[in-house]
Amino acid sequence: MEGRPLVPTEDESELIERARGGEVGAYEELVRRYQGIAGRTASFVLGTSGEVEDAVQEGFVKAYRALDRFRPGAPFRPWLLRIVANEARNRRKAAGRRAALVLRAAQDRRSGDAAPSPESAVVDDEERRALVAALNELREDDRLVLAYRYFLELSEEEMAVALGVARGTVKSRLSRAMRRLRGAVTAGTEGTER
Amino acid sequence: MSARLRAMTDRELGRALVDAGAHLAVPPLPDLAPAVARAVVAAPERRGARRRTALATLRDLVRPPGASSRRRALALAVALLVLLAGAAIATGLAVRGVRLLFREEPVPTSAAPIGSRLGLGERVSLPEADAGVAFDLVVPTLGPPDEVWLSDAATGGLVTFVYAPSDRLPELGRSGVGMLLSQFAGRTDAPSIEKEILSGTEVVEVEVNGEPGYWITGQPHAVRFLDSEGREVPPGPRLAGDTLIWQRGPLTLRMEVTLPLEAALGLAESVA
Repeated sequence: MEGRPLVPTEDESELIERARGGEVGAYEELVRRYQGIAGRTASFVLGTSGEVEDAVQEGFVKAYRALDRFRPGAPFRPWLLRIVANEARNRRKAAGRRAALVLRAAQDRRSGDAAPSPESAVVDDEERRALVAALNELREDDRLVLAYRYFLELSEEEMAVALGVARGTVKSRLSRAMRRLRGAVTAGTEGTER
Repeated sequence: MSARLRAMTDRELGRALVDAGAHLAVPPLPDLAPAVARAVVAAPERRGARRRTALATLRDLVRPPGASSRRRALALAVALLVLLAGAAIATGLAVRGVRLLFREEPVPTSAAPIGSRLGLGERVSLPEADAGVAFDLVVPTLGPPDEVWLSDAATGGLVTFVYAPSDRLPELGRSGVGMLLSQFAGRTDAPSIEKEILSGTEVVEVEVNGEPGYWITGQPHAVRFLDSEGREVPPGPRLAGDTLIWQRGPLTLRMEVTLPLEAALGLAESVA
């Protein structure tokens, strides 16, 4: 579902157009289509707190009100994610505390996720936990860049829209975030080895 | 401990991140569509600094409940609200084919004063009007109108009855008109009438024979008629006085009068 093409499908453009015309039913369809990815985006900022649902809902409301400013034919998904992420960040700031990414408990994992074949077992549980701990040490900006690229697997162009930066800036943001992640991984592992 | 992580190339670290992403806990969300729809239909636009003003205005305008079972103060003033057909009907708020646009700016200067440039279309006889529209005309118990006008606003045509001022119907502004009553088949997918509501104008949700309606009162508001393609019907927007707009089966009716709400509702309920 998240490997959606960048160019909006006709169906989606039509829904957006109808929603722009004030047809709330069309917008409801868009909400259903994208609330999953919007929820994941908000959770990159807010962790698993109850604020995620509120941020997503309010993000969708704000996006609806901003539809007049949405350029027809532009990719909708990253535009929406930017609004949702901003809403999540504002809420996180208002709450005044950092939120942490959390791994699902092992028994929650569906078979498809975690039945490692020798070559897909890139990391073991322990390494995964170390990686997430390192992500949690990063600034929100860096974490979001990495999440867009590796968790949501957005294209560079989508990332540019979602981050609100020029396309040429995406690569440098990404490499900076990777560098900082490495730093956090190193610091984290040194910490545990101490 | 995680020496392997440290030794990874960017590519490998990327794959490790993809793996971690697939194992992250994400709080489950209920279907948010209904709540989002309710929010966008029911609340005024909130943008930056306007937020407080809009909410304060809303609070000020909402009347204490129980004043009358028929009238319930709705939203108001400031900012944009699109109340439209479709899903809005599901929330019980919409009158089909009518879009209310809440604006903060002053009254558009292009809007003609009440009574002038009414833009009612072509003057016809009652039977001609009946033949010219795709629905059955309804008439208030007040009796047949003094004039009947037919316009190509709205899909299927729009008919306006004009009543001369009388004891029961005070003149609308300086229009020489006592009441305008328009009817058309309201569409669920596109507005035929747009009303620009400015601060100083109040919108009250009402019921007419159990069907939804709005009483738009206070400062004059701008009204604009649209054809089946959504194009503005000449001569463009004009200012309207107190207006009751409501749904009656497949029809949407619009009554512009200078009367208290109770009297307007009485007239509206007599339309059959």
